[in-house]
Amino acid sequence: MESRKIFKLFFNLLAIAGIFVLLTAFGKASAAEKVSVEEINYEQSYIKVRLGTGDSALQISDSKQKKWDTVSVEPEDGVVTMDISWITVAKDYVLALRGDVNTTAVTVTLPMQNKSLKVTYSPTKGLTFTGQGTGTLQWKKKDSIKWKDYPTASGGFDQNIVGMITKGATLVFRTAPINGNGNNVGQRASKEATVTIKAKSAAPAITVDGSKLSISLKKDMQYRYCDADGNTASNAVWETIEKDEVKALSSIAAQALCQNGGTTAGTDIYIQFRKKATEKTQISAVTTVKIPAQQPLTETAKNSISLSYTSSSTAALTVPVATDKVPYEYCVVTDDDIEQGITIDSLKDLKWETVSSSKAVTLDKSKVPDGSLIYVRKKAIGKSGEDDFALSSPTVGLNKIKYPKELSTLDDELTWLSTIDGVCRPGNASEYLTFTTYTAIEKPISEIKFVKKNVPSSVSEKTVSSGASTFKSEVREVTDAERQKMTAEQQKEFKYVVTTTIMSLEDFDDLTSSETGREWYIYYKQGSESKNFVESTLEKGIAVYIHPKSVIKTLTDDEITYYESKKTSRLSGDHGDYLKVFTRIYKSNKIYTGNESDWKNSDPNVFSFVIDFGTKYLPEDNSTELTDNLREITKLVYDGVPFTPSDTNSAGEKYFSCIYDETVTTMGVHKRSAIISINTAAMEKNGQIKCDDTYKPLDVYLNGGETIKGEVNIKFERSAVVVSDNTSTTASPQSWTVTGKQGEETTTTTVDGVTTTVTTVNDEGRTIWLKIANPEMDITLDEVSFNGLDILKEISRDGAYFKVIISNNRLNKIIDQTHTKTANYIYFTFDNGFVLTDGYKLVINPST
Amino acid sequence: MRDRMKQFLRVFITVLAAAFIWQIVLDPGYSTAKASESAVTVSDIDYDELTMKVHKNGNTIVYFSSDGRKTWTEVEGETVSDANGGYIIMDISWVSPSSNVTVYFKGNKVATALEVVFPKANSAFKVTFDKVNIDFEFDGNDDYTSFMWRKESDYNWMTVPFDTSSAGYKNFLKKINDLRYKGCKVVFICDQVIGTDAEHMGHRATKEVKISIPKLANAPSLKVNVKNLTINTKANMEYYNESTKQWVACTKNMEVAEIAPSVIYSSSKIGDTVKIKFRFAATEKKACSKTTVLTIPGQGKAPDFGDAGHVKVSLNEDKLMLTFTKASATTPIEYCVVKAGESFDPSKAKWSRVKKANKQVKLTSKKVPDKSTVYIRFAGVSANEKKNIELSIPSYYAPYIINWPKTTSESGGKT
Repeated sequence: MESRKIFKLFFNLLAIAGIFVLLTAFGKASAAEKVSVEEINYEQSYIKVRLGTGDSALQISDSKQKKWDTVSVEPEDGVVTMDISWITVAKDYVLALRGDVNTTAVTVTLPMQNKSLKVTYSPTKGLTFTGQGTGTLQWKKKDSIKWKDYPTASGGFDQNIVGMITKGATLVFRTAPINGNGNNVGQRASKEATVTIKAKSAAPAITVDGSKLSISLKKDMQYRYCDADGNTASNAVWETIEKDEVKALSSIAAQALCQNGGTTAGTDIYIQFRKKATEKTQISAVTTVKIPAQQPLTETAKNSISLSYTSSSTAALTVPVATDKVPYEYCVVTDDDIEQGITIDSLKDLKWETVSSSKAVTLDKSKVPDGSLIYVRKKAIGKSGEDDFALSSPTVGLNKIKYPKELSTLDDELTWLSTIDGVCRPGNASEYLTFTTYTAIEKPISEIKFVKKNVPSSVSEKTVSSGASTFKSEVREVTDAERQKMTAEQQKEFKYVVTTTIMSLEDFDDLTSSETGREWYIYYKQGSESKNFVESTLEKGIAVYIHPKSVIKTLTDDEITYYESKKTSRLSGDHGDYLKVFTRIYKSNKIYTGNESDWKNSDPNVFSFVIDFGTKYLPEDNSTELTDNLREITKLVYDGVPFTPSDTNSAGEKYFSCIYDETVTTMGVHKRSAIISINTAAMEKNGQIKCDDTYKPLDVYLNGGETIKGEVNIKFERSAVVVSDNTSTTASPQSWTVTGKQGEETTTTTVDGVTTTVTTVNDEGRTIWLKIANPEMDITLDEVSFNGLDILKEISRDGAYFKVIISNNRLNKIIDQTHTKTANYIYFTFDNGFVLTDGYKLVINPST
Repeated sequence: MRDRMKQFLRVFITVLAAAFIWQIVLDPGYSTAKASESAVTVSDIDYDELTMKVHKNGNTIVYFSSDGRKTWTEVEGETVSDANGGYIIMDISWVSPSSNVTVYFKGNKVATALEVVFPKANSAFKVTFDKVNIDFEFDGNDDYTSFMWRKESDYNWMTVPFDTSSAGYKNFLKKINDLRYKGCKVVFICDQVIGTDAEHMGHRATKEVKISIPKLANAPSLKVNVKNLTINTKANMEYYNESTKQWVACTKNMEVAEIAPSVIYSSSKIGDTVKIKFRFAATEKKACSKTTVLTIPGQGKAPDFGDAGHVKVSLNEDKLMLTFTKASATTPIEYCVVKAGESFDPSKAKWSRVKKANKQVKLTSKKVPDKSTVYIRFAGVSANEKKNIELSIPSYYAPYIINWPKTTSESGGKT
């Protein structure tokens, strides 16, 4: 080789070697110069720093690098592992590092943690993450100590959520830390974000309406079917309710209802309900609702339900099988309801009334009109959800309502019942008013209303209930004979006859004095449940005409004068005074003071009174008119003793005379009167008349059934009575008991030892006072006797009194003859024939 | 007779066989046609994951009741199939750890209720920290052989055996000590035991015990007093003896020569640069502090007297002139005068410092009586971080005896 080439080669080689040396020298030098970061571990919060050659300790500082601190951690194999948990995570932190020998600083910026991670949970959207940045999501339950990776696959966490919503849970999320080294600082775990998984909300409360056969559901509810054990079919899906609605059982649980036209029972149906999750509310827990099988009505029950009519406006519905524990119910569907589209199928609109016993329920025409349909079913019982819950049963419909015709008469006319005021009274059977009506319902009339029509009055109606003192009403089936009188239509309708008898019109006393008080139309109510009266009208029905009563007048002077002028015949003793109260002193037929005219006016035998007849003629039976038969007196009755106008006493004397008189009032009304004169002397002679010092009524009986009672009173008075002394005015019965002879006086004279007993009798015995009924009477006391024997000594007249002195001698004779106790009255015989046989009692005890 | 026996045997065997067939094959009791349904059971009660497996055992729906069987709720969660009809992984994070909680389970097919009692977290486990000796005492840990600990700020659990002689425990203490650099809060638990069934429910991890590991106190600040070669030690400090590997208590203001004798120039050998560790000693109440390292450069050679040296000496009549030819601000030279007969202690002598080159110092014979010795040395320089001045200790000394000239001209010489 040429030397130049060799030289070049050598030089090149040298250069190469030099460069090599330089490089390696530099490399070595830089390798030994400073500390280096080997590992930054965020999970375990440490940093591993390799010291430079010769370093024995690590020194650290912050970004300012002013103050260096030796790390009191022994290096191991030249590496110091220092805890970094004290370094703030809230911001980037510049950590300066150097060796104690190799003091060239190396900085590493520990990044702040990601604070932006946020997690929200919504029941509909699930978990939503924001601010995740880079890094793997990790999760753990709040109290768990281990982090797990959050599944990336969509829906990968769903099963976890499903398990957590039963009770709710709190989860914590973060992004996982990425460890770093000298070239890449990695990243910290993010700030933890906590989220609560809401627990299931409460299961919806579902109520089955056993009456409306429906379930009320709300928007966002879901349901599916299951069996009694809660098992669902494998393909069972949750149906969602789109809006609030009331679902009929027939749509959601048709199998629960009776099948085969309502004759066979349904099946228990179980439905689970829950509420869908919403943004804010967790899906709800599930509740299972049992719809118990609907039970049909038995044939027996159905057949036992009855509907009958109790009046022309009431019906009775009876459900014999209904009890408190097994109640039934009925509802009414009227024609109006049907027009409005409400039928028995419109369950939600119907109103049911409960029947909880076998007692009949009254339906009234006002609420349940003709044409109504009645439906009966077993009522739903118990509470939805409880064991005793039962749906209402299917319904059974009864016949259409058609109320029977009202009680009515057969003809289309107004029937008058005619009577005289005062005559129709309990006990006076012949004067009762009776009317007949026909009906389809087997019930009598319960109430009557008497109504005045078209006449303004303070009294327009009187209501009377049936009773012993008012009226009675009886119902029976029509007889064949009665049926013959009916039209074909009537025969169909009227099965029963109601006979009503009015026994008293007492309430109408004194109303008949004017025309307006006489016409009363009868309204009657059939059956006690009925609310309505059948009304009689001006054309049809029953009415009562009450003729005015006859009265005994108290006459004015003018009237007396008038009647006086009417007398055409006279009784003996004339007519006496016009009196309603008359005293006849017994057998006082002596004429006493006064001249004939006076005598006429104070005849002790006769008095008169006048009767104004209510009507001139007797009334017709069934009209408001009168017959041609004149009103007359039929008899008088005194103390139970009847006297007819033709009767006479044993002496042939008539007891009374009767003169009729007719007038026409200024209004043109014919009036008739009777002037009655009573001969009390004649009555006195009738052995049935008792003389007992007591006023008793003289009852006047008229034809037409009228009686005027208690208007006239007569007293038959004894001529004299026993009194206690000459000052008393009232009778005072006396009693006298004698034992042994009366009035004996014994004198004893002793002349020379001889005792002589002389008995003498003082004849003046007891004094008896008698009071004379009328002091002006010319009357004498003839005899005073005991047991037919005269015992009188002396009689004297002292004004209105007789003083009677008994003769002891005469009495002693009787005493002598009396060997057993004898009691009797002393008889006082007067010259007018009156014998006083009571008043003074004498009791004789025999002498011992 | 034999035939009869044979016949009998045949019959007997046939009967046996028939019975056998009936029992094994035909008897419904042995039939596998019906799936087995039995009561619900539980297993794998994991208190970390807070899940439990609920085995269906043939039931299609499983219920649980947490209110004493008043109400039942369906158990829902991830379902896993297995040979027994599968199991559901049930979340148990809602079961309160602060008391024993009874939960009942039943199935829809077999409704026998299973009673499961979740134990409360054991709160008997206690940890006490000896902050002087940096050690731990544990209580309530009879059932455990190891514990787990972590820094409060992270989830990194480390398992450590209770056996204090074990390597694991020692390593744990080292780590704790390392944490004392900045201080740290740590958490202790004893781990859970996973339950296997309703009778063996295992137990939860104990309640956490938090301990604060305090930061090391700051190391003492030590300086070398370059004048008297002492260190400003205090009695509450200690230094580390590398040869005995022991921490030795300090006294006040110890001499460098005592702590690090090899620093001192001796036998014409420059002293060694020594690094000495110091710290505040632990007291009864406080742990020892951080360590600081004091680096002391080895003591250097003395400066020279002489015209070519660092200090020229000239004696004139009664004046002694010292010319510090090579003194400077960075290499100041000190001198002191020791009278004859006096003892010389470099650490106690009064040194005067010259920082200027060629500075001349005149000394009278009064100050420097005859036979006095003038000592020179390089002055020590205190460390100054700010000015980046490193410590240098005073060098060894060189003596010069001053013999004042009598009338005769005698010049001093070096000894």
